[in-house]
Amino acid sequence: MSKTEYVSPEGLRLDGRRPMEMRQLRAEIGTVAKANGSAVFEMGNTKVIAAVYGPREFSCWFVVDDECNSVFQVQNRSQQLNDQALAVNGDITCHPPDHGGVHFDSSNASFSGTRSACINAATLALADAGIPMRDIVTSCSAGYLNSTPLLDLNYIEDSAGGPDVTVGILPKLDKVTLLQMEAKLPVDIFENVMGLAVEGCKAVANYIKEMLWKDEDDALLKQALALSMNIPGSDSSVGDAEMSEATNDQELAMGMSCYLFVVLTYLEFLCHMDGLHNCGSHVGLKFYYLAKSYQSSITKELNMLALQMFMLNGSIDQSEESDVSKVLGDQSFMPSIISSELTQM
Amino acid sequence: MVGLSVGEKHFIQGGISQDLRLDCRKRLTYRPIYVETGIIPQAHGSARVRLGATDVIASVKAELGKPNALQPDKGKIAIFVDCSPTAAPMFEGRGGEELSTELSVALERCILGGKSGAGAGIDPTSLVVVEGKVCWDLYVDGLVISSDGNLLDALAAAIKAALSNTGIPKVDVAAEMTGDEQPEVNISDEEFLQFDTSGIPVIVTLTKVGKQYIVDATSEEESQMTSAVSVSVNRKGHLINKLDSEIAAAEASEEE
Repeated sequence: MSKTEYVSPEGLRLDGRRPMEMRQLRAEIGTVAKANGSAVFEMGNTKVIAAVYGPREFSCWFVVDDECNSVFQVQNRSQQLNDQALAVNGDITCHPPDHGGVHFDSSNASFSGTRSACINAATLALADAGIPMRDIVTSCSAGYLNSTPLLDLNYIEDSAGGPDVTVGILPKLDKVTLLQMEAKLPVDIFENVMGLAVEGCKAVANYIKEMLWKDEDDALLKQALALSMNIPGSDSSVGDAEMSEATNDQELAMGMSCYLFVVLTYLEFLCHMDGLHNCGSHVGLKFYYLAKSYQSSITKELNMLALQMFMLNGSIDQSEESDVSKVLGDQSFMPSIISSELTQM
Repeated sequence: MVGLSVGEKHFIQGGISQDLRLDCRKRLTYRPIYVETGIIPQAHGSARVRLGATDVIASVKAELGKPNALQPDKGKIAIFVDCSPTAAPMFEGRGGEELSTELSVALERCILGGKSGAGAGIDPTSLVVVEGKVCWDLYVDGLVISSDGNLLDALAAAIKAALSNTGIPKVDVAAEMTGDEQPEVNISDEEFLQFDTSGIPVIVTLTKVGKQYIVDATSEEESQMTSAVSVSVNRKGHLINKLDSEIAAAEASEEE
């Protein structure tokens, strides 16, 4: 078995794929009726179900759980979210989501592929739940067997013992959130293999985008997605922190940028509801805070928007107005005001 | 588990006493049951059953093994149920273990019968390839993906469907071996044997809310129950009236 041909002389792999061909992808969102967000992601015969539950107390864990026996096997992993992104998010929303995912998998499925499929499924489930993300995180694996770089290893190829590289990326921001290799590879070959895996990630990202885009009914989802693609992560400090976290195997990063859009839609929603004008100012405050903490080129525009919101809400009472002026006047008051605003909400 | 206000509780209870439940069902009406078989290509048999928002998957995997020395003419069947955290956040970590064990034990009793094998849904002797040497070990796994009440009924239906979907590869045994040697076997890729699943029981759980019994309770209704009785019935209609001590446990299990 040790000299098995993983790539035939004709350049075909054991399952009939070409070296740079992925297994068939299939995804579906909203599959778990009771969850706030859920998704099924299939890569070939690997099938993963992820679900997002929330809000709940401030502790955020990613659990990918599974059965140890013959059918629902695979490895246990728990992944904590990017601490920093989470902290930012937690401050604002006060209710980070809780995520419990499950994947069941069978003997034909790949281990590294499982990890990738888990990440992709988690991304979809988070998108389905409307959770703010800086970008969608996608993942794919690649390996090196019979002197050929192979994309998206299946179980047989994965258990061949050759090197395999699992990569997770933020496709829009072009950042790596996960890089895992379980064998040694010369640097030049590694670059090839990783490049292939990144291409795979991008293909997955395209698939996910197309798939979410098709879902015409879900306007919020669409907007969240549009946002994750349109607002660049120009805050480099956040990005760097994330990169360093990435080495600690933290695979999903939640950023603020999406949140802006979500807030915006929320804002519009509130404005259209009679008798809820006061809420608008709360949201506006949050909005302002977001704009401040997101020190980028869009800050000014967002400030303007936030101010407009206050103007629109004619029924802001005096105390709130003074809060607002304080906020606008002195930035050092910000955290305390924000926290008080949040407790009111 | 389910947070309900006093008003909601009264509404559920009042509805049930008037034979009109939250989802417009009568007391003895099931939610529509959707069954899908063959959903896991790598398993020997699999099925997914949906009952409203309750969603379970069962799969069957067969492996060649050695029979128990005490029962050389019987194969082994094991049933495991896992409540995945996708069903509810509280199942995370070890949270689902208690419920999983409870469901596994109940299903084992219903489907595998008592210790003597009386009332078994699957004939374990049909799993033997060479007596005392080779037999099939069946691993039946249930996975709860989404939980909205009545898990036991859904799981039993899923397991029945999965076993009906199961094809066990035909095994050819090479020439007779002497002594304790394990015979060589040849597993066929093309020929499969089907089970006789007509003996596998169906489980119906009656939940008592107020003074009435209902079938197929949702989790909201289950939170209001005072007791529940699960009855497993096979095709021959053998059920509780045959309450000899061993089968009794298999036939009726009372929760809470």
